[in-house]
Order: sequence, then C-alpha cells, then structure tokens
Amino acid sequence: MSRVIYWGSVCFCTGFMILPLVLVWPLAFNTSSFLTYPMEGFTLDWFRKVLTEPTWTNALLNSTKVAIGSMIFAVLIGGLAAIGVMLTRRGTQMVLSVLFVSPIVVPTVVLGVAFAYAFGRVGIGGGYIALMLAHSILGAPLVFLSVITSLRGLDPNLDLAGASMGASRIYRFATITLPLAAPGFAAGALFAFITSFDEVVMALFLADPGSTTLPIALFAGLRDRLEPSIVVVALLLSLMSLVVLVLINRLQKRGTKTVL
Amino acid sequence: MSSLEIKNICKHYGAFQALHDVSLSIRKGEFVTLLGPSGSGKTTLLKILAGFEPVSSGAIMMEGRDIISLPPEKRNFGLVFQGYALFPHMSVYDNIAYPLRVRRRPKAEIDERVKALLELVQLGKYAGRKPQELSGGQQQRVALARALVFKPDLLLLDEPMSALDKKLRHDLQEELRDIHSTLGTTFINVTHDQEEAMHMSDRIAVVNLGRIEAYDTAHALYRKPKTRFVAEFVGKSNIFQGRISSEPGNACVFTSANFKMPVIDPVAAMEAGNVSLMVRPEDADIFTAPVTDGRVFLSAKVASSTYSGDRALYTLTLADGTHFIAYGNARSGVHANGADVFAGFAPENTILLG
Amino acid sequence: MSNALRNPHGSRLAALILLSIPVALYILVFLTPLASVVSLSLDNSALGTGFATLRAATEDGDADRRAQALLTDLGAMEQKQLGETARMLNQEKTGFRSLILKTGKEADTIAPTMDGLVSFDKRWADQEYWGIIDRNIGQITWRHYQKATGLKVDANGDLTISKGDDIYLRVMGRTLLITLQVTILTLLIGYPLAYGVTNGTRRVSGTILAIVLLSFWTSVLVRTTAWVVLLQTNGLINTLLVGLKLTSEPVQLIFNRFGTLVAMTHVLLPFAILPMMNVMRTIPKSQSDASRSLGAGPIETFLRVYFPQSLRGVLVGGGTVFILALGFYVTPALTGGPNDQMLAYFIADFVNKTLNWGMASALSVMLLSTVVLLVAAARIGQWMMSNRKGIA
Repeated sequence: MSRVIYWGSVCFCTGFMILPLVLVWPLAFNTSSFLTYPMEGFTLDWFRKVLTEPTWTNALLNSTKVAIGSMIFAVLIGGLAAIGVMLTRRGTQMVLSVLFVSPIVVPTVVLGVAFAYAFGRVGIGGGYIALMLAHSILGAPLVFLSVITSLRGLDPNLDLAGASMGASRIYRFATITLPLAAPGFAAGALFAFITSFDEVVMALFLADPGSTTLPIALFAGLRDRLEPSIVVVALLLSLMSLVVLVLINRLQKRGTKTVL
Repeated sequence: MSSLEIKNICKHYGAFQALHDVSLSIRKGEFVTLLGPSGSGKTTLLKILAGFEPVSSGAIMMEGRDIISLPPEKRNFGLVFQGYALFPHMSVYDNIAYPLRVRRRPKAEIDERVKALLELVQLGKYAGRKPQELSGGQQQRVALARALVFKPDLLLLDEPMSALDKKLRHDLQEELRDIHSTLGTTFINVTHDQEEAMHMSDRIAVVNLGRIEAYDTAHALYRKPKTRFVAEFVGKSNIFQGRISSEPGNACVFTSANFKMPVIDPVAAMEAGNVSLMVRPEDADIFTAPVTDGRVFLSAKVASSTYSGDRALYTLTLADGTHFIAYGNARSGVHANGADVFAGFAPENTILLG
Repeated sequence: MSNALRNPHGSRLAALILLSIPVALYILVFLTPLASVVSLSLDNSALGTGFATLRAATEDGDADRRAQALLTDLGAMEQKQLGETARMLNQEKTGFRSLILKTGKEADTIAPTMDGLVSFDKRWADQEYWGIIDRNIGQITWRHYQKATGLKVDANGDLTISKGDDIYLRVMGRTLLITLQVTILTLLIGYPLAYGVTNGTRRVSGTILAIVLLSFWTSVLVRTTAWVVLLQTNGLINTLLVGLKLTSEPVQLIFNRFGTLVAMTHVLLPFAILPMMNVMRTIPKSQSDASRSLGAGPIETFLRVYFPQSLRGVLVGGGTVFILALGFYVTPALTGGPNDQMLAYFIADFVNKTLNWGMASALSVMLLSTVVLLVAAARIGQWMMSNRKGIA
C-alpha cells in the first residue's frame, strides 16, 4: 500500500517534470510544420532555417554579447563584494549581504520599470549598455553567493600555514585564497551568464530594435505564430543550459559546494 | 528451550555475501551479545532481526513461529539505535509514549507506563524536555525507555554505548544489567567492545566475516576458545605456530620454533599436524632464571612495560624476534627495558587451537 | 577563508576600498532606480506645475483670489497641457474635462471673481470640484494609489471604495489566488520528488535529481514554450485525448486558468523541491526505522515522524515559490487568457502601451512592498524558529 503510493506519486511527478520537455524536442526535427505527433519524417530544415534567418542569428549574437558583458560586470561587482564582505565584522557582513543579495527577490517586472525609467532619464535609453547593466544587477547576487560560499568553505589553517612559511597577507591572498576560491568565481560567472542569456522580462523593457535578444525573439515568436523554428530555438537554449549545468557540476566537484 | 531461533540465515548484497548460514538460538530472558569487528556482519544480523533487511534465505523462529516475513512494526521487538534516533519534534514524554499511542492504548495506561519507565531510567524530571536538550547518557536512557515501554518480546541494542565516554559507559553497563535482571526481557546487544560483551552478557556470539565463530559464555570463550580468531579477539593472548607429533615412548609433543612441550589435552592431541597454541598473559610469569617445575621457559628481553599498581604488563622480545606479553608481579619493582628475563608458563595452562 | 581576511582590524581599509566599488554601483544602478520608481508613483509634476499660482492662493483661502488664480493658471496653459490637465481631473469626476476645457478657453473673458466663475458655469459653485482641485495640485499625489486600490477620498475626507473602479484590486486578488494555487500545486507535486531524491534508491535519487536540476537550469521561457506546444488546440495532448476517444473534439487547454496553472507549476517546481530536499536530507533514516520498530506502520511513521520534521522544508519551499510567483509575467502572458493575467502583466502594459508611468510605478511599489514584507516575515519567522531551538 505505502509502496504503491510512493511509486505512483514519484512516477507521476517525475513524468510531469520531464515529459513536457522530452515530448517537445523531437518536433524540432519533424518535416511537418504542425507541432504535433505522429511525426511525418525527419529533417534538419528547421535548424537550417533558424541558423540562416537574420532575425534569429542577430538575436543570438545580441544575446551572446549582452550575456558576456553582463557576466564580466557581475563577476567584478559580485566578486569584489564577496571578498570585501569577508573582511568586515559579523554585523556588517549581515547588513551588506542583505544588500548584495537583495536584487534576487525584486520581481523582474519591477526592475524592468525601474531601469527603463531611470536609464531613460540619464540618457542611456534602451540598448546593449542598458541590458548589460540591468542583467549584471541580476547576476551580481549569484556571483556574490557563489564566491562567498566557497570562501567560507576554505580551511582557515591553509592561510595560517602560508603565514607560518613567511608569506605576506597579500601574497597569501593571491597564492592561496584566490586560487582555492576560483571554482566559486567560475560557477558564479556561469550563473550570471546563463541568467542574462535566458532573461526576458527586463529585456522586453530595455532592448531597442537593434539589440533584440534571443528570448525576446522567442517570446515575440510565441505570441505571433507557433512554428517548428520556435521549438528549434527552445531546443538550442536548453542545450545551452545543459552545458552550463554540466560545467557547474564539474566545478562543484572540484571546489567546495556553491549555492546550487 | 529457546524463545528465539535463528536458522541458517544467508544474506547477499549482489556478489558480496554478508552472512553465511548463520544459526543461533537464544533462551527466553537471556542477555546475548553479538561481538565482532566492524564489517563482520553483526549489524546486518541485527537489522535482519529487527526486520529492516530482507534475508536471502533462512528463518527466524520466535517461540515456534516464523517471523521472517513480518515487517518491523509487527515483530514487537524493541530497538535501541546507535545514534538513539529520538524524535526531535517530540518531548521525552512523547517519545516514550509513542509506541503505546501507536498501539492505541488508553490514555491513563499510557501515562502510567511512561511514568514507570521514566522512573526506571531515572529521568522523571526531564519528561517535558526535548531530546536535544539532554546529555548523551540521558538520551541513551530515553531510547532505552522508549524501546521497553511496550513490553517487547525482545530488546535489540545496536552499539548502544559507542557514543559515550568510558566512565559513563561503565555506569550504563551496570544499569543495563540491572534493568535486564529486573524485567527479565531477552536482550540482544551488538558491540565491537569485548570488555562490554564480557561484562554484561550471559552468552556471547563472536561474529567474523559473516559467520558465527563461537557462541558460548564469556568464561568458556576466554578459557577455551575454539579458533585463533576468538582467542585473539576475546582478551589478550600469545599465539605460537607449531605442529603436534607423537614421539615414540612419549605421549604427544608440541613443537614450535621456540620450544617443545608435552601435550596434556588428549582430545586435541588426536588431531596431529599444524596447530596454534595460545598462552594468556596472566598464565605466564616473569623469572630472572629458569626453575625446573615442569614449566616451559623462554628466554627474552624486556621490550616495554606498563605499570598498573598491582602488577605490570610486559612486552618481551623472544629469541626469534617475536613478541610475548605477560603479567608480572610488580610488588618489588618493575624489570627495566632491555633486561634479560625468562617467561615461564605451565603446559596445562596452554590452549591448543584448531 | 583565511584568518587574516577574517580579522577586521588589520584589513578594515582594504575592506573599505574593495567594498566601495560594488556598494557605489548598487546604489547607482539598483537602489536609485528603485527609489525613482517610488517617487514616480507619487509624482504630480504633470498637474502640479500648471497650478503654481492657485497653490499659493489656496493658502489664504479667499474665494475670489482662488478664482482669479485658477483663471490665471488655466489661461497660461497651452492647448496640450490644458487637455492633459482636463483628462487627469476627469478621472476623478466625469464632466470635469468639459468644465476645464471650457473655462480654460474663455479664461481671459471671465471676470476674475468667484461670482464671475459661477455665472460662467454654475458647476464652479459646487465645492466638490474645488475639493478635487485642492487634492490634485500638490507636489505629490496619491492619485495612482487610489486608482490602483479603487479607494477614494470622498468630500468628507473619508476613504471609500468606489464602485466599478476596483479593477486593480481584483487583479491583485487574482494574482494572490493564482500564486496560492500554484504554491499548493508545486508543494503537492514537489514533495514526492524531494522525498524520492532523499529516500529513494541510488538510481531513483540520481534520476530525479538530474531531472530537477535540468529543469531548474532550463529557462522559464523554454519550459513555457514546451507547454504552449503541448497544450495548443491541435497539440499533442489534444491529439492524444481525441485519439484515445476520451473527447470527440479538442479541448481548450491553453489561454485559460488551466494552462496558466499547469505551466507556472512546472516552471516553479524546482524552487519548491530544492529547499524541501535540503531539509529532508537532515532527517536520519534511523528515525523512520525507530518508529517502525516501535510498532508504527509505514504510513503512520510517515505521518507522525517524517512529515512533521520535513514541514520546515515545505514552508521554505512554499515561501520561495509564493514570492517568485507573485511577480510572474512571461508564463501567464503566454499560457493564460485575458482573465488570467497577473499584476506584472498590467505593470508592463502601462509602460508599453499607454506610457502611464505613474500607474506602472504605483503598481510596482505595491508588488515590491508585498514581496519585501513577505521576505522580511519569512526571515523573522526563521530567526524565531532558530532562536527557540537556541534556548535548548
């Protein structure tokens, strides 16, 4: 009886989680333009179409630019914040941590309104810079958490050992602490990259026609007309996520545990 | 007349065989200890008894009834877990009341039983506390009370003392013995601590590599071990490898690299061939010169000694470089390290192992 | 972390230098924009600047001077500003537009006294109009919040709910309802999965964890896309339902509440599962074994021993999902119908369609403060729980 409940619920819930994704991907290879089963035949035409159509390729390029830019910003802000916070007293640490993590809880719509208005007033307007700045504020808390977790996980004796061998504080920081926290930085950078790459809501407020990102193009496509190229784009996006997931998994095995 | 009969239990994990054909019978009211090193299979056996592990083959008879297919909750066995497994979201009282509530006993009876058990383990004033607010020893007693409150047919204890310090362990061993003799419930204790086993148990089952090596009283295991493993695991010992041969005119003779001696035990002498001979350290004495009283004397050098007031435990190096341990009388001082001495023991105090 | 870095005395200067950059950027790029949203929601410069003379005249309260000031201000407005002013005041009371436009056009010809105004249009004798003007020509305004909540200050200065104007109140109610439904659904579906990860065999646990993480890392938009494809009228699920003869013709599964709930639940599931998993990992297996050996069956053991201890994870997971769901935009926009849109949709709508920044920011402030309050409450709750344990 209890076994039946257990297996029944586990199978149902697992199915609910994975089936939607698994069932949709094959449709990217379907000859028919109707997104349903049974499949009529296998084709790579839709991929060719996506990879040659400027709407999609420009969007892909824009997304990559924005994601790399905001990743760099986020690593700088979040990394400096994490190292700085570790240098302060406990009370200050709490207050500063709340500040640095806080963008996570703000709904992206609210951030979108805030950035669209504030950037517009100072003349940044919409476009790459606006997107990068906005996305780096989303990514910075992730970098901060990732780095601070790996810094807190270091064995304090390693630094003492370095000191006992005559290394100065700055030298120890550069040769012991930073290299050991490197997986935390790398994981944080990946978090920030993929967050920016996947972000839609703020982008809808901030992108101008020249800086349309892939998620915006996908969102517009979905509202416009359902066709296989949309599934192709979604498939490419999730392959990207898979790569990032695998990379982060590697990093976590190498370094101390990071956020997720 | 035994109340619990373990019959030919085998347990495989894939290709690994954790238990080989284990059989054991336990009398009603007996205190039995499963003693063995870690990985010997004693905990697996306990889990099988409690019903958490299915067996590959075999049976467990409880007063003539096979209980092997019963789930844990139907066995009516109490179990004290290694880490106690007290429920952190319930008070001490609620923890102890749990098995009775599960059995839908009337409230008044629950209250009476829980109070009686709290009294038994001397925790009356802690009833309202949460388990994590108690010390290790107190937690252990709550676990004990919880496992006894429903009058189980059998109490299983899984290394109950392992998390406690030495002094506390000793006190709780005494207490456990007392509780056992008061209640008369059958107790099965699992431990790797041979002192604990000898201290508390009526009988000890020595478990090694998934087999029962020996099953007897502490005295019998100590004085008459059947195998080399038992001899070495239960108490301290010196072991000599050698062979038994019958010499013309004489009776049987044991010959090892260090010495020769007549074999007293006629049964053991029947099995001629390669054997091990054991000497307990308290059966040997330290001499400055050999005497002729039928004892075997081995010349040796003192390697080290530990003084404990009434006597000293010597580690000696024999001529062939092997070590020999023996207790020496320390009333008139301790032999210095490096001193030349003789270790002497009587042939009738030696034990031949298979 | 290195001890030297932990030592606050030796390195306070270093900390100051390192922190100054991120703190400055956070203030500049994060806190200032948020603060500007708050001020934007109260800003009344559109109306306030046009009535500078009237504002000054209102202070001494003389009726004729007020009438004169009103005419001066209206007369000074250009056509466009007059129209805008009339439109905004009309939102307070219908008919105000024509009154303002008419008065503004003739401002030069009307006698600059109260009597002159009343004889021009007798509505100016009605104190209600003057009251509305008084309330709306200040530097700040609660107009947007009044509109957002449907609450109005009546002539006596009391708060009343105006009939028919509570559309955003209803949107907020709907937002809370959908959020609550989604939270419950994610907990119901997430619990067995979290349980499976922590208590299943190696195979089960590994499989579920991989699926959860994959889902977590796949973007919200992609997972929503999958549901749009599956649930569409000629989509896979309808094909299946018709093929199995469960229905004779396709069922409407998307662009309604069903589609919204299914897709949002799927998207938010990992956020419920991961916290529950973390708490379940701390519950030792021996707890359940102990309960079984004490006579409780598997279901009773679950209910009395396991579930109460996992409740903390359920709370954290549910809280996380609730807070995230409150601000959801993309998924309901793509899978819901007009009656399933949440607060975020209307915020975006105000910015993108009508450029009504005032309303967009007022709704944003309300959404943000709800979230901040919830997060603070959760923090305090957690702190109190850990403190109660600390007494032990």
